[in-house]
Amino acid sequence: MLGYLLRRILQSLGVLFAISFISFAVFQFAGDPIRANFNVQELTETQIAELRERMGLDEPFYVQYGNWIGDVARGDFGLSYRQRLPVMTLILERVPATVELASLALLSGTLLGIALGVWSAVRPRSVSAKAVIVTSLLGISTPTFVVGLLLILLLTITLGWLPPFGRGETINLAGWETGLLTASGWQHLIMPVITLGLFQIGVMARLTRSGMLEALSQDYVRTARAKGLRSGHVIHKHALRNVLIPVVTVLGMSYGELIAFSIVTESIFQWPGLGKLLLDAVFAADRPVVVAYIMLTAVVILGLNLIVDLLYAVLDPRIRYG
Amino acid sequence: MSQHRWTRRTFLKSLSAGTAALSLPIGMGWSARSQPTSITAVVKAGPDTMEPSRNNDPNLQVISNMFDGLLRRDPSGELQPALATSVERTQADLWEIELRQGVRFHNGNPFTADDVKFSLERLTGEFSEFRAFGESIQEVQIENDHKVRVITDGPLPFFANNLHQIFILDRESSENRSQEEIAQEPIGTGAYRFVGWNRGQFVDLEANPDYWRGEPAIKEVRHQVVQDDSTRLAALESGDAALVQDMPVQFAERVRSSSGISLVTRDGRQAIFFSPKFVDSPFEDLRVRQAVYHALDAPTIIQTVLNGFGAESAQVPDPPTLGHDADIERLEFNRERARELLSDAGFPNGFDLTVDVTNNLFANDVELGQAVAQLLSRVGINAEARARPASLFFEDVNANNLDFFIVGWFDGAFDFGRTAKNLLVTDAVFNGNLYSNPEFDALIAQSDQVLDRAEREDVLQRANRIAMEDVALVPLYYEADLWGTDAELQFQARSDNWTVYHDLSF
Repeated sequence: MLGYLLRRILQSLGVLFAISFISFAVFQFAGDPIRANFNVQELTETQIAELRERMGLDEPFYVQYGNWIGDVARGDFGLSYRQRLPVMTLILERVPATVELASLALLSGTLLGIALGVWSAVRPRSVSAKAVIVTSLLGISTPTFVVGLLLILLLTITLGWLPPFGRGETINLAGWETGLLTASGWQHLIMPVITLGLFQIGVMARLTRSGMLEALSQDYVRTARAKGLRSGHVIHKHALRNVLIPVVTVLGMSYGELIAFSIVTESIFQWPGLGKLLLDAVFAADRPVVVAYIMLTAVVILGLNLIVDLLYAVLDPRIRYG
Repeated sequence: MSQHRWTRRTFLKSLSAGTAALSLPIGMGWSARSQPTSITAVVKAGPDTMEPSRNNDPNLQVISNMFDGLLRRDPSGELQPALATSVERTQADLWEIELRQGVRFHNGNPFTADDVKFSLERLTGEFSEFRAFGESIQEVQIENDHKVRVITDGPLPFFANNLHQIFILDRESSENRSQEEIAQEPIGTGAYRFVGWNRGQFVDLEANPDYWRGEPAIKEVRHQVVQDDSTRLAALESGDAALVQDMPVQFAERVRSSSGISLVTRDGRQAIFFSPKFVDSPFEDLRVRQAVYHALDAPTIIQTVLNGFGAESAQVPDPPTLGHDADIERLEFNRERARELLSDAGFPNGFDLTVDVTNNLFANDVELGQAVAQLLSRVGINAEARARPASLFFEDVNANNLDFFIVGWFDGAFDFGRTAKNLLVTDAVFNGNLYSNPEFDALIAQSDQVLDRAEREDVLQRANRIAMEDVALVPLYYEADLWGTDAELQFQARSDNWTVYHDLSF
């Protein structure tokens, strides 16, 4: 087990290296960060050259990359070109907003999706089951920005119930700005969570449903039923547990996807999260922010996948790592 | 039959009950905003920094509420005294400035000549975007606490014209703070005090009761960023914001026809041109430049690209800028003439052309590129539009790689001499099309030496006419500025399009 873990961690380091190089190299083609971040109208050519030198942009690419790796090894991700603040400060202050949004979307989307999936598999011919299938397809195929705008049209403009932008009042809990402890925070969360979570519900419902349909036709389920076990017990303990393996796999990958999709959701609702930070940084060719962000998401996704692999062993006793 | 039955009557009854239940929260939403002393204003782009030496509008428009310059601009764009009571150019390179007495910074420090010296000198600092201006100031001499003399490095005729956006800091509290710290927590003499900043979200301001122009009517302001166009509209319609900047043109009619909110428009200062390359391109020939000018139908472009929210332009400086000449007219829209000129110049069958535009830097710039390419195709030029992000686009402009590209210009100093030095004289930093006319260069250089404003205006107008006769740039239009406001809010759109909360009241 320990050996397996070590091997996985080493592999992950290799992947991180490759990712950092690629994301760094891409910026060779993203245009001139000086012109994207400074009002060059007010600078002379010499002053622009000086800025370039001060920011280390006059060096050849491989030197810049080498310097960056050296700094990162010391825990220094550099300063944002645009804001002149440490990249880590900028990223860390955005983490709570995105984590709360993505986690709530993942949690509610998964629970609801599994419940709907089980429901539609248990009574496959009922009208409600068909409704679930159609709705889940809609949830998967409707673009995020359409969902977001429709929600704003309905809940903000027509009904006047929910505020269309921002996080509302937040409370600082030991350095973590949370919106989960205020009424205004929850009001602001509802639309972004639905927008982001709808896709999740759809995927989970369809995945669970197909798995359940297969499991429910298996001999061991029939045997359990024949034994006279309660139907609920058979569904949850026998069938659902076997269906959970692919569900957990998708769950791990989904978290990464949620962070990616959150860019659109965060833009619509002016949610002060990482997606918004990334978007602004990409347009400004703000390399330090973008590369650090990509590295961070890579670490999160690699970590989640590792956890998912370890969870298999818990869910399915036949799987062992050695 | 005692069973409950849905009849038309019960249905209508429950419907109206439902509507009443729905309208209750709407009513609450609308009343929440009519607190007359505090507002949320929504802007499209928020500050990345609040460092006074960083020159971009999202920054300057928010800190203009917390700082004062030596001069200020009233909503119509006219210069007015601010921290200086008078600014006079007594020699070509000497400015004498009398300072206002009895003004205090938000931290209680008195405002003196020393603060002016400090603020002007720090313009040459690291990452300053007023460096060219800062470095053209040779020396700031303190006569006494309320008088300074500024000696410029050679004539700097637009010195005073720029002073509304050069903000004055408190030396004592700023000297031992880093640029980053100053950028996080502004301390000025302005109408509002800084309360807090949630980066990427909002800046909170509170009225300065001791402000020298009188305490502002609006006591609390949340300067909120909402980048998404539709969400900004929603913020206005739901009453979550009383003032919305940069209303997209496609929503203008909707805002205009809704009750409770108003649309405020103003001829903007942002001018849009196309720039033909003067070296190694068909545009070397004046007739080709004129042909392209004749081919561009400005009213139609304004109608299709900006939904009509724009004004035709015929020259580089806009009406409030020194050097504007009301007599210059656009070349008439005439396709026959354009084709004639093209064949006279040796291009009877046109030529291949890429129309380069930015992607989302100017209002509907991508659509503009397509419209221009289509209009050029109608006179036989095989034109194709290409839209790219600003960072890539400007790299090519700077390397003089583009034959025909969009230029957006906004002169914060309201001075054509300054614009020309940046954009049109030979070897100017932004002269991406390599235009060069010695006569033009000489006039611009000459204008520097002229002290009298009217005389200087005359020289600049002459230069302006030469540039337009040369078709140094193909002028198109000024974008209009569009605002959405609560109908109760007293608001006047400013010529600089800034959010200045001291101007507002209910």
